[in-house]
Amino acid sequence: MRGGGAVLLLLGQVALLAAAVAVRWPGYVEAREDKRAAADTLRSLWLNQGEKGPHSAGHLGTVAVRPQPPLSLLVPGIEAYTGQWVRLVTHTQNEPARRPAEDRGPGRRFGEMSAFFVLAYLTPLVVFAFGSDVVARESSGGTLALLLAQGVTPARLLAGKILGVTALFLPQGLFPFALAALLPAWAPEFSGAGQQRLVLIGLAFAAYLATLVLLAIGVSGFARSAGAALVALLALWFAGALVAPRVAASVAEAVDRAPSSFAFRRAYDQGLGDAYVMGYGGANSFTRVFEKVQAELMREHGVSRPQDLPVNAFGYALEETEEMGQRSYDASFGSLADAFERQARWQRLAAWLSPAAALRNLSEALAETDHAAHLRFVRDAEGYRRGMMKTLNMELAARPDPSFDIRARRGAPLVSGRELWEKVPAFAATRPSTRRLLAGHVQEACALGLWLAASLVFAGLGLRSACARVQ
Amino acid sequence: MKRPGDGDVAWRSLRNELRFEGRRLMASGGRRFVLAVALAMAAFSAWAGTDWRRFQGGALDDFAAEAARLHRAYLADAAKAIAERWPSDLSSPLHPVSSYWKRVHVAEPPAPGASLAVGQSDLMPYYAVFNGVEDQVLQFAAEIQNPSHLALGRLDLAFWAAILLPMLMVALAYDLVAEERDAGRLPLLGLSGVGLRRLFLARVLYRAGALAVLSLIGIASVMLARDGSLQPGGITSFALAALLVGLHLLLWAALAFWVASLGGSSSFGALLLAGFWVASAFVVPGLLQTAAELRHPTPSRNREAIDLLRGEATADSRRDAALAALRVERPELNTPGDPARQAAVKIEWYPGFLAYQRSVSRDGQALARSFREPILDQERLIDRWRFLSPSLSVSRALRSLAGAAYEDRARFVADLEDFRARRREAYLGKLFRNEVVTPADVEALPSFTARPAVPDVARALADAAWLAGVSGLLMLLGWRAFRA
Repeated sequence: MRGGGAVLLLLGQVALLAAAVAVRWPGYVEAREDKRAAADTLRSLWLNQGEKGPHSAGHLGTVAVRPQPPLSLLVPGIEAYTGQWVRLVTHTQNEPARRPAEDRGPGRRFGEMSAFFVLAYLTPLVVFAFGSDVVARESSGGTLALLLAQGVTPARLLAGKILGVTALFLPQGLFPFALAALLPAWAPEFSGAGQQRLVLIGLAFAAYLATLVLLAIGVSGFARSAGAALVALLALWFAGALVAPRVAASVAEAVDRAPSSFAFRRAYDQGLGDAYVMGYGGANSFTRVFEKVQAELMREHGVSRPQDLPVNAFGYALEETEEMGQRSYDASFGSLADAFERQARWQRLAAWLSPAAALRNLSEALAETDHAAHLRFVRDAEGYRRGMMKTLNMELAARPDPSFDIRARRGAPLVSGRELWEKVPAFAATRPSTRRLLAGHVQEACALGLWLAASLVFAGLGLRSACARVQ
Repeated sequence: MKRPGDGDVAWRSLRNELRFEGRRLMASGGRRFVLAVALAMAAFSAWAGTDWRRFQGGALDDFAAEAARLHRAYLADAAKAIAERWPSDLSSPLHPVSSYWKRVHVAEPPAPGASLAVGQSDLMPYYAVFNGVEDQVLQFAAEIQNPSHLALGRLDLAFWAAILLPMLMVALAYDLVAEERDAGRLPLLGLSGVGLRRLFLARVLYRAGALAVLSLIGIASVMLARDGSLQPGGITSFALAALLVGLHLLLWAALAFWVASLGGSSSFGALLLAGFWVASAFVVPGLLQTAAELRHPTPSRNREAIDLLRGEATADSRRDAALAALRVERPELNTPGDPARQAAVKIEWYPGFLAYQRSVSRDGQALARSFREPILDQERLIDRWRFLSPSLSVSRALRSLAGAAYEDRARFVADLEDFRARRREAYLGKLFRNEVVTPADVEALPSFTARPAVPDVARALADAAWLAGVSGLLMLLGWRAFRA
């Protein structure tokens, strides 16, 4: 492809990139502001819930909203397929709810239009369209023989081809760096770590782009015609971008099948039921838990009557049931997280088969839109819930109630107010350092490096093969 | 001027050419590879669909077994309570509140053609457990799936037919004429008496046929071995799917013929066909989806969290208001039952609780509708414009035949909401009159019957007619414009 068509296609690509950012920008800002406003309102609801029993406050609970990761503007990752908030209540750990994908039609699963989608999945098509004839056309047209006759060495020829094709794609290559320079002026969350991560994504994309250019040169060198080179390159793209990740996902699910939602919940319920049975003589009843905890406290404090206890056994019993629930939940969710982790290994393996998979895993990790980021939110929210419930239960535990009768479900009305609600801090999600984010993806970085090195060798071999054919 | 016997000669030559085309396909390493990939991909996508269907089937078997076990246990408890004359308090299974809190299992079995497409069934619920207490919590319980895999989408038959198959056709036919021209064989072919237009049209159809036959072998062998889903109910779905996929393949063959008729190089042909493919598979569906979302936006889910919490925070006042409203709405419920029993329980609290649940549930349903309706509008909008992209048209048709479209899942959720409302209403009278619930009452409670997904034959035929029409038009254009 030459001349005006080429310029038009390149301009179209850059326009598409700019459009992908522009189209997502209002949605990103809306989600960011909506989540911030929701977090503030939820906090206000918690603090201003009025006077009530701490355990009632635990039943009402609150909601932890996942903050919008800034780089989701460019790399949406799996954001749409993970719950964006968790209801935090006593006795049970809820799963994150409201996956944005549930509120969309199935069309989104064809591919989310984003800067990452354009860079990782559409740019290769343009690179291959341009690069497929870079050697094949000269080889079949006789120009290559002429160049060799003039004493141009294959190495210089390769360097020239690389520079020539790469220069065409400089706008795409520089796009992430341009965003790193420009975005902080529009939104402060893109400065500091955001900027640093954007630069790293840019570097990973540069390596990916260089790999594509080298692959195109290599295939063009080996192919008998430009058309055959283009089809071979499209086949590579087809296999690497469309087929390999999906095959890896299907195989991963077949090998390490996660339980169905129903089986998972049943296992959780059974785990909790077993905890009651094992610890409390077979009765799935809070009364038994309470009586056992009360007896232990009486022994501990050396009193013979419950009324003489200097603490409130009800608060301790509630905390005991919380811990039972946590153990059951940790066991069932732990095994689910393990199954997902084993499945993720297949995706990491796919990085060795496809540079697109390596780029995706790295970019999503840096943008905090990958599965690990989702699990961090789940852990943060659950840690917060446990701290919250402990604060409420210990408040009850510190206030003895001699009139409390568990069998009659009767006791003094122990209420608390804003002073206690303020002891529960506002929910804050952890923000890991860039180094920590990258630590889990050394394999992908190595795979991308290996792809770059191997495609350089491949391009050299392809060019040598073309030279040998014309000599 | 046409001479007698010319037609026979041309037909014999064409038959020989096609026989030779089979050998040529197998002689080329590249084309052999494409055909092998077609066979493998078709088999794999059929396997992925049947695997998901099996998973769903297993989950539903577990679900049904648990539901039956709990129901039997409840009836046994109820019979015991009657025999032993238990007092009608909350610990008795005969108390309306205890009975109302009993878990109810509701499921929609996969449609007969479910192996064709996973669609939205890995994202939206196809079974649910609920009770009076967990009214809100369990409403939207969906399948647990690795979100990374959900984001990728499945390599099922819908993906294979809509996205992968056209690309394989492109790989087989991008150099239909250029190959012969570059090899200098065109003049020779011109002497065969077949006519170049007829010859190349026959060739491209032959290649499409080879692709179709191999794909069919791959799919049928996996389906029959693993699924056995060619049961009577599924035959219509599978026949319509086969028709649509065949016509989709024909459309791409016709497109390749038209591109070849323009007389460009192999590179030009590959580029143009790849461009059409990117537009059909990604660009048009992406733009349509974006336009639909802009035209029919959904409300904020974060606001929903706040509304939910606010609603619960004001539960007491809402409960009183809901109870008062219910008493006005259903005056017959104000007739109390046995006065002695009425005095023994907090009569106002339980109906109040149920009235509150009814009110919360109505809010929840309105909220769910406020999300569902815009998405259904989006789907209707995309449906109207689906003909802009053959890939979109085929994938949507297959999802619909599989009973895995958004509309199918939305229908299940709507039916579920309706069922829960009917069930709640059935308890109201008992609660207000403070009557016990007998096992006969439990058996007489409204039951959930899933509305099976019926293949939309008219829609599939409209898609098929469109695909056939465009294919015919492209062939005609190619026939008229043919330049070798």
